[in-house]
Amino acid sequence: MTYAQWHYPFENKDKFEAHYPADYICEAIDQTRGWFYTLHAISALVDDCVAYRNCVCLSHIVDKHGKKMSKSEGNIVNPYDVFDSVGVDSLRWLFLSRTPPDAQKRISVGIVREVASTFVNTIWNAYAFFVLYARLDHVDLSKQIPAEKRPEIDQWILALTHETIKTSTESLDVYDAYTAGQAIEKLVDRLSNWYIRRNRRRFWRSENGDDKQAAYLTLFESLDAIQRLIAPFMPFLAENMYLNLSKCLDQAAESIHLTEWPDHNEALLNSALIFEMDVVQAVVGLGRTARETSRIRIRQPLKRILVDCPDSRARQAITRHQEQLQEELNIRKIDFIDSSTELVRHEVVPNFRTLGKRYGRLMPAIKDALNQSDATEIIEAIGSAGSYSMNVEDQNVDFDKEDLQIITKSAEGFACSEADGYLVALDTTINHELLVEGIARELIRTVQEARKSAQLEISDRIHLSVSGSNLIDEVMTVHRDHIMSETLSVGTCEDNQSEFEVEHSLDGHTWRIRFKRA
Amino acid sequence: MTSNNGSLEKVQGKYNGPELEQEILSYWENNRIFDKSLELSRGRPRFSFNEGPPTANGQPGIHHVLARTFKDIYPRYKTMRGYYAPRKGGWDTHGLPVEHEIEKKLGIFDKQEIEEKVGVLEFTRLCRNSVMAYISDWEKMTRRMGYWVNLDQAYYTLDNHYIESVWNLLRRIWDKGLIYKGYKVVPYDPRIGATLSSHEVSLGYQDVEDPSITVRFRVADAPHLSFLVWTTTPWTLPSNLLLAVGNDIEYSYVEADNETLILASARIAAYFAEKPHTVVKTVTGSELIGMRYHRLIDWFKVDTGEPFRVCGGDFVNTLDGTGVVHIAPAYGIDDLELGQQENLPVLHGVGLDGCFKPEASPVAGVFFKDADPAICEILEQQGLMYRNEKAVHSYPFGWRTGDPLIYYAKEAWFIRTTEIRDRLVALNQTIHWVPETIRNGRFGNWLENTPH
Repeated sequence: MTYAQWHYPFENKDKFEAHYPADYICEAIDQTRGWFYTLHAISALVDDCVAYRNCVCLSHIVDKHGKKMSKSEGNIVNPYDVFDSVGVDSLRWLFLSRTPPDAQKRISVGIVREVASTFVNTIWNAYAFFVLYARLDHVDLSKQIPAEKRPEIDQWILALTHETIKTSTESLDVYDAYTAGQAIEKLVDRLSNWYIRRNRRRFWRSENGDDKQAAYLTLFESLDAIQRLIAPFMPFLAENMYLNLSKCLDQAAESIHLTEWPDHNEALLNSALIFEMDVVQAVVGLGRTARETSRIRIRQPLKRILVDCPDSRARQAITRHQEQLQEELNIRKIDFIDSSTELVRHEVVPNFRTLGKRYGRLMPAIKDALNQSDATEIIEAIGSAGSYSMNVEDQNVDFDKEDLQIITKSAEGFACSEADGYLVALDTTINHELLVEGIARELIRTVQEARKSAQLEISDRIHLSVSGSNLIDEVMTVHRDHIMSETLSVGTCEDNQSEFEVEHSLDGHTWRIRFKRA
Repeated sequence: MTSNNGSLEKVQGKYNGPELEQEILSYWENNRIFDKSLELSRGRPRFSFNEGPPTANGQPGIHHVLARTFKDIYPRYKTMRGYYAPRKGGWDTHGLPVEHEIEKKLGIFDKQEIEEKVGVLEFTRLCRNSVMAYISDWEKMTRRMGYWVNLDQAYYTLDNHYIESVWNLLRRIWDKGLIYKGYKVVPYDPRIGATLSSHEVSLGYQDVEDPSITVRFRVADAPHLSFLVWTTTPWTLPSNLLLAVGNDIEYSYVEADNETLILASARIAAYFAEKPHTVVKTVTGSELIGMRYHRLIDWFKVDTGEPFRVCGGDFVNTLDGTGVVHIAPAYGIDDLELGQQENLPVLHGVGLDGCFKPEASPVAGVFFKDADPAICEILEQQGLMYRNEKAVHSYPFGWRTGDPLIYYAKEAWFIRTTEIRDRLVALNQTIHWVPETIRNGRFGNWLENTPH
């Protein structure tokens, strides 16, 4: 109670006045009929003003199926079940950032665990990665490299970092933790699944040059922003990270909760670059999906993809970042197409459940008519007007969205995936040369796994030999240099000298790996 | 940034939330980090947060963790942004849930019995202890989840200082002339002597079987002429002061079995479908206004106003009953309004305990619901019962106790919030609600219909 908690007006007049009206209160939504009302009415009656300036109303908690929690249902979640198994940070994140404020909040220990094993774990791994290499290299972050001198990919993640700082600040200022949380999740995802993944080599490199230093600086700056942004959400994790990472700072505070909220650097913002990378990542996502549907391993290189994108801006972005895309999708070439009609066939099939009731005996004729008509025209009509009509055997048939099912079929030799105006068609033809290269990559992977199993240090050199069928020999000949350098092999291993041996097979090809420490 | 030469500590293994959090909790405590965050920011612009006090009447649940998470994030954020954000915790120690808990423990549910056998002082002491016992569990949970709030100087609603401030507020409202004493028909649980809010009543409706009787109200100075009146609460008949009709409803004088009965024309079928009858004349309700009738039961004295006549009421309809409505100002919202309009007193037949007063000799001391049969018997004997049946209908019960409720005109103190309704609505428009829809939705609507 605004007045009574201070024993006002008998005491604490100054404390009361400094604190009233309240900037912020927050309770469950049922308090619109209770506390929110009494506060509001009393302040209006007594002082003709509001009791609070900002009020957050919380929606109800339900179980993972959306049902109310009750003893009889046996679906009550005990806080300590979560605290003791997953921890409270993930639960706090779930509450604050995973549901928009007016939607019901689904809670179960499993759901909280999923937040921990995905989002929180991603932050942890990115943090652990930095620390691992920073310790190895005794990195000195006082050696600055201005952002404009760093590679474009560094500038991109810095732009995204600062945009996230800006968005989070603006959102939290209006009590919108959800939007802030979503932005932070995107940053963490991009940092880990794109930036770190694509830049690992810069950290693995043994020489310490400007490029490596730029990578350390960039990664640290992003992590530093992230730990501060998550501090009000997940105070424990943020503190744990800060107590370690702050050792890289000139001035470390005793706690992250005694530090300042990060300010975004206007000069580092770059919405054009972020847009370009969003396009690249979207195309990569579609390309990966196409590979999955056609069951072609990522390590099997392919000739090309065909891309249909919504506008010229997107096209330019793809062109600019061609190399990245080619690397990511393991393809040799990107071609643009204007329309996707030859690659993708759409079929429109009637929904018997909804139409059968209305048109009964006409259904077979409707099915045939749809089969013979122009699917594109129908899809466009449904997309813009929400309905489509056609004449079947002198009867007028009306379709809306639920009445039709759209089936996408890729043309022969292509695997297609489309979303949000983008279409990516993977050319799935694998010639001999591509096949050989694909196997080379698998060989490299299996040798690296074998090195791990043999508990070699990351920098240990080996003498290697890989033998198998003629095809394997061909692979070892054509791609010798690449395989040797990727596996830190400095020579061949004789049969009788091997310390470690393992056999692998894939798609009917078998090979034996032998190596010894150099 | 410094050159740290590997002073970074190795990150041990996988993320382990529970372990990590315990370590950090110790760190915060050993180094007084929360206190320091306030000490360092004192003097900066203030961010004022008010905690809505939870009732520590049981173990804290997951929904409390939800609320406390949202209460925690913004003060932490604002502190990092350069504000001074003190957070004073509070405990709500009053309310029916606490009392009910103690009643269950004592096994005594009667207010009178509690006063006699246990005493108010002891009872409140037990309530206090109960709340305090749970507070330590709440403090433990608060600490564990990282909700930074000052619980050492928490406010307790049972504190005399707290209560004194509340009285001061009432005084200030009184000085503005906005507090008055009046009657209000409220949903009332006579067994525990508690008034429920209209919101709580909506939670307790049940279908039950009750009397469904139609009685004759004999017209004064007109032998063999009566109004037919239907009710499901015979126990309210001794408190009858008026009859209400609809001004524009058509009524018929119906002759059957050597008597003439007045009822709404639309209801003739309900009563005379199987009986030979003649409609002698028809009138509109307004023509019946002013007619006097003989009181049914005269146990209680009425010494002000002019009772026992017919008035107009726009709440009268012909969906059921007879179109002639029995009015007992003490037991109905429309009844009270009409009775006050006609300057009639609030005549209670039952006391606050729900039992008939001593003057009602045949049923003195009988609980209201139990008095129905006796009253019906009396009406039968006096030839005033026309039709005596039972029917199933929806009746309100206390949602926590299961007791039958009475709509009871209670003397009470009221705050005239209706007077400032426009200000309530206007001020609300300046509040930033999350989600936005609350402003003109759940909260705005509530204000528009300002309840009291």
